[in-house]
Amino acid sequence: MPTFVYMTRCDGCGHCVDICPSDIMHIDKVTRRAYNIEPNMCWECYSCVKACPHQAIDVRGYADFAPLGHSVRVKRDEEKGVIAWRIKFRNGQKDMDLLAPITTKPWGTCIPQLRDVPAPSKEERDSELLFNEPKYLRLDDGGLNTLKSNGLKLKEGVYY
Amino acid sequence: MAYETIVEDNIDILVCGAGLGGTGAAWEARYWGQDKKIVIAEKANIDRSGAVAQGLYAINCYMGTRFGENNPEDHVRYARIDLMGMVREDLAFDMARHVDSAVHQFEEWGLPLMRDPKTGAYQREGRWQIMIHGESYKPIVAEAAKKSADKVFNRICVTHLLMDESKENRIAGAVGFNVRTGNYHVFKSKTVIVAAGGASNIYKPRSVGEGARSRVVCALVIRLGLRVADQRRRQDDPDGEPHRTGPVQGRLRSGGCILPAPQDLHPELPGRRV
Repeated sequence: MPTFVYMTRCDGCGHCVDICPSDIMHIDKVTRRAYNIEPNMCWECYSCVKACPHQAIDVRGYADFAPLGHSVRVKRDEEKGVIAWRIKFRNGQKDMDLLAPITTKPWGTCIPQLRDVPAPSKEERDSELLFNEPKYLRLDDGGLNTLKSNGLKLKEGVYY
Repeated sequence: MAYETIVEDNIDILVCGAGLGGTGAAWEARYWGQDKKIVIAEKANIDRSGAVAQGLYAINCYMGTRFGENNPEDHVRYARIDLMGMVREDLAFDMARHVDSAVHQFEEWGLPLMRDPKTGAYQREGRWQIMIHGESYKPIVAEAAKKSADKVFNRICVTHLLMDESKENRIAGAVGFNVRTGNYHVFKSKTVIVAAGGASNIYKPRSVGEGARSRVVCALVIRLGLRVADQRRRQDDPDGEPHRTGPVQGRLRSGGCILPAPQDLHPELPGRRV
């Protein structure tokens, strides 16, 4: 399902060029609009469709399973924290509006800057714990599982 | 067109690859090295790169010790049976005992995890897997990495790691190129975390015909003479789906560094320095 661009909606901002993992969304040098330079190499990942601020990019299904007339549209909104899909079948029998959350918190605000949190002590550095452990392991007072705490022994080699 | 050579010097920690593993590594590295210079080199764009980039509606491995569901040794047993005994149990155990804290942090960052309405525990869809609204799984974790790293180089494909000529058995950085401009990038770094991924299911005893992985991560380190400890499975995904090595591995790797310990050097490879 390679992408294509509605030239009249595209303003050449380049968000799709930035995000495309396959590096095939380019800006046409003459028209200054984005286009898919190599539809065969499209991953159909929808990254550019979601990144486009003008909903100028659409995805065309292959004729064998999704003949012309269908559409799979998406709008991702970080501010509202939702993603909305509209899936239309060409026979008109199905027209689905799907809404799902993409985040439960205001975008990006609940991730701490680790440069500013209290630095780990020497004791912590020498331990086997990662950041936020042991607290976040179980969100109770339990510590890190070890072979000893779980009454286990490590046997050498391959066995059944 | 002439290509430029761009040198980034004085890096303390270079992370090659910004999938879920690399982003997790950068995050964890910032905590343990708060004043260090952390740089990420990623061949696509950090917001949408790696195997969960396009979204994943599940976290494939969650112990749920908090809800009394599984202990790490249960997962080791599963992995051992699944792989006919050929598994590094120490690594599997270590991954399993840390995985829950990563998931709990994701929830705090805003990743929508589904809950079982009756029990209040995370909604299961199998013994190990939990259900999430994961369209922005990667962008959320990428936010954390971008906050943690000093610099993120997008579109840089790292091709070789560099060893230090003056100090024995010491990494010196990495080189790569910009996939878009063709410019040559040199990263001089004291430590390198290789999270290039692409190695899951390369070797899997119970199936054939799969494994279209590029094994970039192995390709990078094998040339230095490192022995790849466990390429048989992804540690975090008992379902064996061909994707990421995962945030937990990234976090674990960031605790140490990937410099070859002498005993880990392969005797037949040119990188051997013992």
